[in-house]
Amino acid sequence: MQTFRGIVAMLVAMCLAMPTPSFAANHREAPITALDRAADITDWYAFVSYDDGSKVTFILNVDGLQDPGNGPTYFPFDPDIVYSMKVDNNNDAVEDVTFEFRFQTEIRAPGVFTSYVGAGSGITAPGNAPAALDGTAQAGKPVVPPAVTSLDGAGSAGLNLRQNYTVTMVQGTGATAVRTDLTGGQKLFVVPANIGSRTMPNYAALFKQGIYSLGNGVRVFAGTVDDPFYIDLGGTFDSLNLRGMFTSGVTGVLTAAQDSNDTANIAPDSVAGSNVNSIAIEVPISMLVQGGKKLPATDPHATIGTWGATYRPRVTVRTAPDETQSPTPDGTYRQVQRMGNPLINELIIGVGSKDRFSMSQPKDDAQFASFALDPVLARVLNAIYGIAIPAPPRKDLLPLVTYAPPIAAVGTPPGPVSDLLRLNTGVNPTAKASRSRLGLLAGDAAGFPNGRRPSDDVVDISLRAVAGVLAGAPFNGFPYNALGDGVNVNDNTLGETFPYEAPANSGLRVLVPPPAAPAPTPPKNLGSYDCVRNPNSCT
Amino acid sequence: MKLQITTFVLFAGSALLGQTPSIVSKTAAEIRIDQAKTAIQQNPKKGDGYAALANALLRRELETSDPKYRREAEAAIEKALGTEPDHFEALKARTMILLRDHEYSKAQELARKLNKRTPDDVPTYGLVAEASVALGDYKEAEEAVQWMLDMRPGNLPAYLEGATLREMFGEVDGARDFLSQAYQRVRPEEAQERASILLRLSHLALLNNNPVSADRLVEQARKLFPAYPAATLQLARVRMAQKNYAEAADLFRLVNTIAPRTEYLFYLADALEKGGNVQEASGIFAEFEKKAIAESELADNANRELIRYYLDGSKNVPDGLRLAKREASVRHDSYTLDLYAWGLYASGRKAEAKTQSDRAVTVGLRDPDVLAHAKIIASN
Repeated sequence: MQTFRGIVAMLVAMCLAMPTPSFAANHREAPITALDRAADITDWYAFVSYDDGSKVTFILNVDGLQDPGNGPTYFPFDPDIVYSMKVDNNNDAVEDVTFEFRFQTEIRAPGVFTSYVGAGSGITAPGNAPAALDGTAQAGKPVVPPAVTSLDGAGSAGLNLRQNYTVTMVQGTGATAVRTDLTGGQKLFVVPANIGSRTMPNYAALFKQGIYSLGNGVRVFAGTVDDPFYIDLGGTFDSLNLRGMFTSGVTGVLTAAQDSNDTANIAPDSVAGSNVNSIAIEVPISMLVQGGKKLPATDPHATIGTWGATYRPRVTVRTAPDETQSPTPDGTYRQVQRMGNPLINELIIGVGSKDRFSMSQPKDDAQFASFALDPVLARVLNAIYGIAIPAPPRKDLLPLVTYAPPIAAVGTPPGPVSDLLRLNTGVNPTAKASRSRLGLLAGDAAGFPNGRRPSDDVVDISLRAVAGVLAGAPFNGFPYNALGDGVNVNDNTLGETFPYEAPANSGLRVLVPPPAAPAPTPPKNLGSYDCVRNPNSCT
Repeated sequence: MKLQITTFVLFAGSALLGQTPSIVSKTAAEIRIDQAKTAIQQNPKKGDGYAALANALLRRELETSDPKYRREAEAAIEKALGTEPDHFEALKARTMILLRDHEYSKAQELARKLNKRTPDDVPTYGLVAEASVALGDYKEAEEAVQWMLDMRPGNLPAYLEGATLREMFGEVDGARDFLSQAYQRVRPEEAQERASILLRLSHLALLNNNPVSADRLVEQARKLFPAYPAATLQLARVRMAQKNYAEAADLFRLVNTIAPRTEYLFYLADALEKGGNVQEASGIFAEFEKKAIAESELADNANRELIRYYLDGSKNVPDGLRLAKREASVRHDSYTLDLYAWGLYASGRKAEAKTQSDRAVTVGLRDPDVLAHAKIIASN
């Protein structure tokens, strides 16, 4: 705990680089994305690759909360959408490097009723199969193709609906942007949903086949995966009716033992068992930062600002093509959503501004500052739990608005207020054994809010930040530093190598009902915490 | 034709008195008025019912062109704001009233505030756009409409506002496309709204020198929503384009009977004059001038027509220029700038006229009068 306090003190002293106030991933957080799930960004991750400190991995997850068995079409990427990953490397909150992903769909057997089918080495019609409508005998003719064992060629016949994609790197913006096709002539196939053991008997192998090296040290992956996010959605959005009582004696407050256990959940993970569509790219840091090489963490140019965005073609007021507009999405496409830090839009931005936020550019985020300076969520915590909260304006909560220490090096130009997920590329990855779900708050310098890894518990971090843990005394101690939803880890083991996620859950998997939990109890006033740390003292 | 017109007068008149021949059924606005009144009875201390009533009354005004509904709407808004001072829908309705009262700057200011308060409310962007178009702030209007199109692709208000802008930008076919899209999105029971779109399409057909199509579209509108004063007005314009001045005059006279407005007198007199009935035209012009001068200082005025009256034929160039200059100091839309340029030209200030005319046409508007003025000014 002393370490934690030290980190807090450092954060406060070094000022504005705060964890984003947020609770959950951005699943359907705004009206427009609630209506457009294919373009709905659920999570955005950016981190130095665990196994190669010279590279950064970006992951853009969309179309969340997929039921793994939801056939026959499952959840393909939308070919009308441009999926973008953006990097600002000169502190102006405008993208300098963008990676665009565009998808195409093939329907390979249009008469078949489902997108994926296969079994064993294929099944032919039996002897008692009736003749076809035209009288042709069917016995012995292939009916079910062999099980799907490959994304292309032999073993791929059962991929009736198959998608491939292109990757384009865009340097700069507007009409002068330089666009480079990164695919190098390769056909990149999407890893489909995990239909089940009959259709896809070795899904893990398919998952691996979906990892492509594009040259220049770039690797990509696109496909359906297990959703790495974890949260008690139900408890969180039932007006913070967090499950419990935890053994701490109070809902929403973890005991020291619970808090320090990054491998066990004491509340249901609402995302468990569900899948999400994921696009990942691993890129040498040299392609991202100014100067073209990895820089030490103390270098002002080492920190980049990142965000993901989705676009659809737009109908414009003017009918004539506007030659001044960029051919890239920012000109001829409308932005459906963007995401930097987790859940800014979900829990900070007011309902009447969520779409505007989704569709605005980070460089213009000053218009939304009022939401962060006096967040309603903090007042809800104050009202429901009775805990004191810092008085507005909550500058401690300005959500990663600038390039500032402790993420960015001292001397880094702060840039405009903007919701970017900032990543100091000079900070080496934390070894698995030392990694903490609480990231920077727990002294794990490679974790959120210095970038974000799939394992980072942004719910607990954000809950604590909103409550005031970064505002200095008296908010930087207990109970502020023990708040949590009781979900500390993803249900599936996340990968330690690119793309750092787990293969999709099988369609045969029965979504496990949440573990039985005691009914929520009225929260106690958190002013008295002796019983929390020493339950035996409770009366 | 006289007989037809007379029949139409009787029909329209009886409809306005609630004695529509054949099937009498309530319009969409009337149904909404009833619903709002019920809501008020159920929750008299809530602003929602009053705001809904205001909106329904404003809709009724569109159906009838009767401004009394606007004043009733204003009263309903007062009640809504009396119970809930920040009631969003009531404030939006107030913005609509400001627009109809030609209080464009006030409307723009209020619409901007509402937009800032709730940026995700798509119709509010439409209010910003309407006020901005009227004031000539086309860039702001375009940005607002683009937000509408981006936020909710395919939404009806965006297509309607977008059509206005496309027309202003000279993209008549594009405007027609937007209106066609809009028409398909209006629910069938919203007869007046569908009819109003047909009238706008008719207007665009005239801009494309296609009076036959314009005529057909008006007839469709009249069938869809009988006794629609706006349809009568558009039909009169079509007749003018067809050089059927006698019938146009009848129609202008009719619409001025149903929903009197000073500018209609100008159009009526113009039709009479062009039709050779100079004596009657002269009398109507005189009546028009008197009324237009009386309301000239009001926000809702007939200054544009009065300026035209003064400038065309050089009846009173100094007053025409004075009025045009004053109008241009308030708003800088293409129509206003064109009249200002025309006044300057008529006064012999040709260089200044060229400057203002260029400003008027640079937006792209393809209005025949504006273009004709610009051509004359440019050639001198």
